[in-house]
Amino acid sequence: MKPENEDLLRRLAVIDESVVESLFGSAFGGPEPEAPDAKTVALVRLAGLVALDSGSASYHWSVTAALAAGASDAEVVGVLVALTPIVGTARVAAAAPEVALAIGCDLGLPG
Amino acid sequence: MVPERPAQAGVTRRTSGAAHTRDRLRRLAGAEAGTVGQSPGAPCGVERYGLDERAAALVRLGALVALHAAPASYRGGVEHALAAGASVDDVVATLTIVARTVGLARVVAAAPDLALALGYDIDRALEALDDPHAGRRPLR
Repeated sequence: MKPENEDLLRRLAVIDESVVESLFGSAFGGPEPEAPDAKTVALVRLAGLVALDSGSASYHWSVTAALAAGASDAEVVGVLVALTPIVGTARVAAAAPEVALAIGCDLGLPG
Repeated sequence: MVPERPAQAGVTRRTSGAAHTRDRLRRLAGAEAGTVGQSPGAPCGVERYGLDERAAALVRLGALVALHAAPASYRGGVEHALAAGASVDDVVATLTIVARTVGLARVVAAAPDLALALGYDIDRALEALDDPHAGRRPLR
């Protein structure tokens, strides 16, 4: 495989912001002109990931962004609570350990 | 770039509220017997778990877009969001907020249903472009 392809795949896997910007352009890559506050934006993005049953790297990226935007651990967990009726318990149960890992919380679950 | 991970598994980063957070996440993960995916108090007790009703409503809308939900779900979600204090701008912004994570295909599919839930008929608007005499229903 060409090095540039390897580089692109690696950057996509960790949600490199520069790649995201290049793919989506200013329309969806930059600040939301009429959006809610940055914290709510980050929490809504996390909701999309939970609904999609996303991967660890995505959860880490999203939770880190939410915490950086001022969200508390409780608010991050609140996203899972709020989504349970929408996405179902299976998705929430799958997401909870990933969210816990992203906020640095050991759930003590069996490996 | 993705920031450094705040902590590795097995390391509790914070002390304040950390026990409650861990307990809630364990219950959501189904670690406690008979509580698979259980969210105590949900859906009525969202505020007890850190989110205000407006944020919770917008979070749910984002999930509906990701799930490619039915029009009836958007109607209910939008009505709830507006009733909880979200603006029309907030509701429309959920599309652009989740676009990067769910992809443009989902957002494009969701836009007409979300618009209709806001009282804006995109099909009628497009027809009006072809026929200047056709009516256009404004946003609420």
